[in-house]
Amino acid sequence: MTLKSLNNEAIFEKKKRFRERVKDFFSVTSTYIFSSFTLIALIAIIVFIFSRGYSTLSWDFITGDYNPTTYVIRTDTESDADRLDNTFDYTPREGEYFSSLWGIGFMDEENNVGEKIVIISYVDPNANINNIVDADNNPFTIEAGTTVNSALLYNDEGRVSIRIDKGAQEVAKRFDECPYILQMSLTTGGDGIRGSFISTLYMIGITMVIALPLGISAAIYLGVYAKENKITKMLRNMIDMISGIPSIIFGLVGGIIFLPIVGGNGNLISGSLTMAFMILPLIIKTTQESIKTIPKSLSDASLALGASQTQTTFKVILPNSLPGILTSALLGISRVIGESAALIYTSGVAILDTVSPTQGSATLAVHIWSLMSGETQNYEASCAISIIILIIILVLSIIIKLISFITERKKRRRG
Amino acid sequence: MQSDIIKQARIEIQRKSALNAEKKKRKDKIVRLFFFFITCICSLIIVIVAGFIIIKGLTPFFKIYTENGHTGSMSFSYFFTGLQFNHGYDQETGTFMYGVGFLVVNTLYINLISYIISIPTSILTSLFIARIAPKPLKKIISTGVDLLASIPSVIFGMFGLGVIVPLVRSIGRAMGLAGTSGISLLAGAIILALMSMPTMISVMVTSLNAIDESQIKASLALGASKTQTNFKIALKNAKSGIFAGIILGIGRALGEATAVTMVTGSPIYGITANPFDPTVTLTTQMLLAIGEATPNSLNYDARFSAGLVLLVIIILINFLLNNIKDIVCSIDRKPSKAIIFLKQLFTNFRNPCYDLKKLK
Repeated sequence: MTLKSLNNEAIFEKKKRFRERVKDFFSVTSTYIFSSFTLIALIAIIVFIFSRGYSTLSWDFITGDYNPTTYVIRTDTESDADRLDNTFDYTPREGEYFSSLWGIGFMDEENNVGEKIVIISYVDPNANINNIVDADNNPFTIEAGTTVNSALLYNDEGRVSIRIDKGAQEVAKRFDECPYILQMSLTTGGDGIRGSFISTLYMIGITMVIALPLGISAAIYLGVYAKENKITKMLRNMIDMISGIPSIIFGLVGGIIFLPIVGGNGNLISGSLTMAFMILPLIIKTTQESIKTIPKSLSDASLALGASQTQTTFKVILPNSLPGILTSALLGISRVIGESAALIYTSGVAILDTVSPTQGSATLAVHIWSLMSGETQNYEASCAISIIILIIILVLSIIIKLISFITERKKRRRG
Repeated sequence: MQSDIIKQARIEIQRKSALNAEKKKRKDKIVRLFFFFITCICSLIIVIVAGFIIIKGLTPFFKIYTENGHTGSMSFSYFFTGLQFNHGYDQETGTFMYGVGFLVVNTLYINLISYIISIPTSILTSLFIARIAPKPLKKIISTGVDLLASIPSVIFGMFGLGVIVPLVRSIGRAMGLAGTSGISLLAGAIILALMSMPTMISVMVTSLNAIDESQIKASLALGASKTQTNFKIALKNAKSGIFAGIILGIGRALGEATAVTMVTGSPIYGITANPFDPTVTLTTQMLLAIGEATPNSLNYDARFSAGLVLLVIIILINFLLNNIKDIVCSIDRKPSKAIIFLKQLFTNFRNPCYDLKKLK
């Protein structure tokens, strides 16, 4: 009787242990699976951005204008006597159509929005002797890489209008038929981000000029001078609360405060004032942390040597908290680069080529927003901008890591 | 004679140094006041922001606007019950009808779905990083989380539009919803979850790393397996940190605007229940067609009312969660009867062995 119950107990124990082991296995596996989610998401984002944006990314993309330049050109009719004698020899590449009369190769392509376009892919070295002038009768040089918007040609029989939508083959064929251009519109460049890049730099500069002095002063007060009382606690709490406000609310409030002052849809100054508001708590906190880590013996020694509190603050505490200040500045910069919601309200979404601080202009992040929020999305350009933003942020965070590494090492040596 | 001169000189020096010290002190005081003043300015930002939002958010109810040939202020009842943000002018009551109530429902709904994804994922991930993972994996995943945290929201939005939206579309098509375009509430919720996860994870990992090692050792000594210890002792000990992470993550998710706007579309009407339909939330409504709204028009000011509602929601949820955190995490406070009852119910329900043994 007792033996039987003991045996039962043992079987029960065994079953229970087995069940527990199975349960453990599943729990551990679940943590593996769930923690791979974040990694998968990160890899997916990076792969997506690089696969879509890498081909667009080039030096021309970074330094180019956003608005394309359009030229209207024609043949100069007064001096085209030996015009017809030219014929050119060139073996076209695959997908390229060559007009042997003009020495120009055409190619079908898709632009970033997905529309079909025809570009001039090859220009013979001697092709530009053809007396082509622009709208002001200045000699014009056709360059490879320009887009053909429209063309109206003529020959001895009459005018020939070219249908660009029929593709490069048709265009090349018509060009072979006609020796003269009545009117042709060409587009070069466009889609560049120079303006947005410069306005991002302006934004960072102005924001830092406003936010750093304020933030450092507040951090010094809270870290050095403030006594632990109710007022200090309240100030600290209020500064903490700023970081909990969503950026869109900052945008709304920044808009209502600064837009009446600067007028219009806002400019870079109103945008950076709003950004300065936003990153102040970040700067104050980071700087204050680094002030806290300064050994008290340092400032005590300074005071004991007869230096006043002010001298101690400016000559001992400030230089020693420099790594923290630098870190806070870099964190603030990466926040400014990535911010979009607040800036949509305060500095506008217009993408400009010539930027000045008194004009509203999109930063890189807002540039992405305006490319993506329209009817058609321009993934290629926005992914290329994203690559730039991510690289900048990565570099900044590496620098931050480096700073903290160096200060740690210094501290260990001192200790 | 000579000693007299020395005495005088000494007195002179003392007087000068005293003067000097006083000067220094005065200077110190001025500098201190200056820093205090700047700190006050910095902390006043919150007052300015809150003040502007409250004043500007309440004006539409009282101010008389003239728009499209109609005059009137904003309807109070439609604000809470209306199903469209801008429903035009109501001739009967003489008010403009702007609805925000349905936006609140949509906002809470999309956030709820995102928490269903993000909270379990971040708890398990942080447990993995802090206690389970082998060292190289730990480093890889925590670096990944850090990187994910630093990605700006526009890039998340673009990624959502390029990857998550087609994914949701194919899921919807596979489920037999032929009309779905992928631009939907579900896509928004996934993006929100991705964006709030790094915040949650980093806070949770910190709290899991800080737990008392003796508790773990005690549990192991009592014969519990490593996994049981991790799940039952470590997680329980880091409860307050986990709650803090959740609160921070929720704050970030509620205030997110650009990324959500990009993937949830812009329907102008009604509450969305189907996760595969487009939806409009408080933040997206505040961003939508902002270029067409001129400052000081009702359309612009109504966005402040939406902002005020958003702030109130954030504060309320924070308050509620902090209270729950206090109830759940504090050892001193006696839990209320309802919680004890629920606990018993769950333990009995979960552990059939417990009942069996009792019966024996």
